[in-house]
Amino acid sequence: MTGLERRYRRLLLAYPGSYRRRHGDEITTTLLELAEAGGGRPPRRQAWQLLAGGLRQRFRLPARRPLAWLGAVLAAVTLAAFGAAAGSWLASATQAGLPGDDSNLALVTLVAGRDGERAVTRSPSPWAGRDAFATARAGADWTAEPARQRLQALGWHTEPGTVTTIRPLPDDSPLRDALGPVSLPTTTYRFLAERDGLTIQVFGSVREGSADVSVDVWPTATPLRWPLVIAGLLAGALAGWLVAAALAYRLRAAGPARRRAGTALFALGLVVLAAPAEAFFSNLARMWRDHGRMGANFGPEYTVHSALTPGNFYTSGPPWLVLALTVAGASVLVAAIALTLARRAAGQAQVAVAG
Amino acid sequence: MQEPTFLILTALAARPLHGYGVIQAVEELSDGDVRLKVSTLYSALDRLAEQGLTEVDHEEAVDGRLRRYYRLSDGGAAALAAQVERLRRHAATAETQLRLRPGLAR
Repeated sequence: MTGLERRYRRLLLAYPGSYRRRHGDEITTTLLELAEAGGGRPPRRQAWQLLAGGLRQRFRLPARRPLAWLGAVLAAVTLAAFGAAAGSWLASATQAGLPGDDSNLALVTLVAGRDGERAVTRSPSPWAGRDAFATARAGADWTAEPARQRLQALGWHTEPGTVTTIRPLPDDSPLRDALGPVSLPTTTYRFLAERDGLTIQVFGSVREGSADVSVDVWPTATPLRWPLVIAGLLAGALAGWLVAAALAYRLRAAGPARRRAGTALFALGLVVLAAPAEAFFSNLARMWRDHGRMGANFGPEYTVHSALTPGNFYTSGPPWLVLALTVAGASVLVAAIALTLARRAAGQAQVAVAG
Repeated sequence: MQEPTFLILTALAARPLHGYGVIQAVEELSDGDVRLKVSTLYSALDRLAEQGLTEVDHEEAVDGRLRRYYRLSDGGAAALAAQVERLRRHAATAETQLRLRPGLAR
């Protein structure tokens, strides 16, 4: 093999394997004949043309196969959702971890300004990122400002926040019947604070004789999340299309039984993954809707991948429905790919035996 | 039908050709205007075969290199004839329209 031929064969690696096996030798012959006739294009230009031709071939679908087009579009859309979820997960992995229960209890004690009855809860959400919620009983004279100063002393950056007072309706108010009795005037305080990649929302509700305070902690939204989610979305769509295109060509070359089984498995995989993909897309829509409005909507930001967190994302079905469908659908897709590749390996073995 | 496709089918109409032969024939047919890229040629040949317009005629090894010859299938010949008829009709229409142009010498 001459140096030129080796170079051409290396460039042909840009083409899908099945295409290379079908046309690789004759393309090399044609390139060498062109070069010998002095009609070869400048090497660099020719290299780019072969690379571009190889990439184009990887995206191509068999002609006159509308099902292949449908499959490629659906695979691209489905895997785009999973790519977005992967990007979202990656972004959350770069964020600060949530503090442990002891730290949360210490924080809510600091906010309350005294020791007392305390509790901490974590309720993972299938829509938003992780957070931890701690509550404590405080004195009736509790107000936000001293709590804010105690947090600032520990390096927390605090925001102004809001104060709302609810007063009982007058006895003769026409709304009393509709709203029910409000026996005690209540003042609520709410403000945000941030430190070391964590955001907290402090909430205090003060009534006559008692006060309840709570601290909700979550990782501060990272500016990386949109670039990573969009990169994941595009990479997923690309992967979906390329996998479907490669399968379409291999299934076309397979026997009718294998072709039917491979197509059915691939279709089944996409059907099973439709609900998780829909869940990821609807979380993506929530993330988009909420974009830039974090101050208005207190709480951890929406994340695409949280749809996998067990919970009632779908009101019907078990809490682990999205996760289970993801595992099942991915397994079926892997089986479809394995079946298609196994067919090719068997075909090659037969050729080898025959040869 | 795009021009390279039309020229490839035209090149294969008279006799089977291998890849380099098609490139040469297309260049001659187009008076040197169309120089097919190798990647374009094989992408077109693959697509034409999928559409049943061309098929492999035979293969031969020359100096240890594989040459695969392609020929026009019956379907390809029909498609090419239909395209030729379409082009002829369009050319005739264009000529008629040009003759109707005011101020043009007749």
